[in-house]
Amino acid sequence: MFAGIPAAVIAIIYGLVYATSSASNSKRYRPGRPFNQSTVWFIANTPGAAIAGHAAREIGAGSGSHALSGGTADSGATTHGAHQDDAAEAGHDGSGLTTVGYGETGGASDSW
Amino acid sequence: MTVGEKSGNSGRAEVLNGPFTTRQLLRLDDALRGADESTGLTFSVYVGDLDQPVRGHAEKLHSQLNDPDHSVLVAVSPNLRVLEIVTGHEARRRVPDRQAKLAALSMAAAFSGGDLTGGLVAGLAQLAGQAGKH
Repeated sequence: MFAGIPAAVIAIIYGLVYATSSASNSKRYRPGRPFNQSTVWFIANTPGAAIAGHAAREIGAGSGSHALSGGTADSGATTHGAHQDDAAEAGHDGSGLTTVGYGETGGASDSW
Repeated sequence: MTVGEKSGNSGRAEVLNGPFTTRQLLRLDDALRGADESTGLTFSVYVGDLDQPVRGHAEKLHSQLNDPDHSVLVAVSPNLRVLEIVTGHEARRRVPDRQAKLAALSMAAAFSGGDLTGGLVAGLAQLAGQAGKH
């Protein structure tokens, strides 16, 4: 009795902790490990915010990024090249940050 | 809301198979709605695989938004471990590339620790703060 009850309490607590942690960690992203979750694309739930075209619908249906109007076509590669050239022209600003040149779109890139 | 949900597709069910829990989805929803309402810009978050070249693919996604000029897309590829912030022509005036880079740095720091939601929420707040009130 003096051993059984504490052991039962420990087993129950251990079971509860293990069950909840494994359930919550199943979706957790771990850098370096394969990421097999569905592709998601969010916009705010406000009027007027929408996606043009029909190809984007397929993202919500769980299909891969290849469904995005052919993925990266030649135009995409061209844009990327221009971006790289602009970035090379802009160069480093001394603080370790690189900026892209002026064009239709701006922004930034990073990796981890 | 997901793109599929907006389009009348089964996005609600699919998003539950995504990388976020319900609580994390609520945090993201709050962050996106707050950023949109405070700035007048349209913020969008994409988490999934990106084809090479990554920047080209992100720009293609950005161009599919309803008003690309006033939109900011944050595209994250956990497998490639890269993120892209794409700002439209008008959005770029509000969020200069240098500030976008700073937001990207803070997001990458969170992602390297495995915190996708925290990084996205912090990055959106940083971008919205930089864009200012509309």
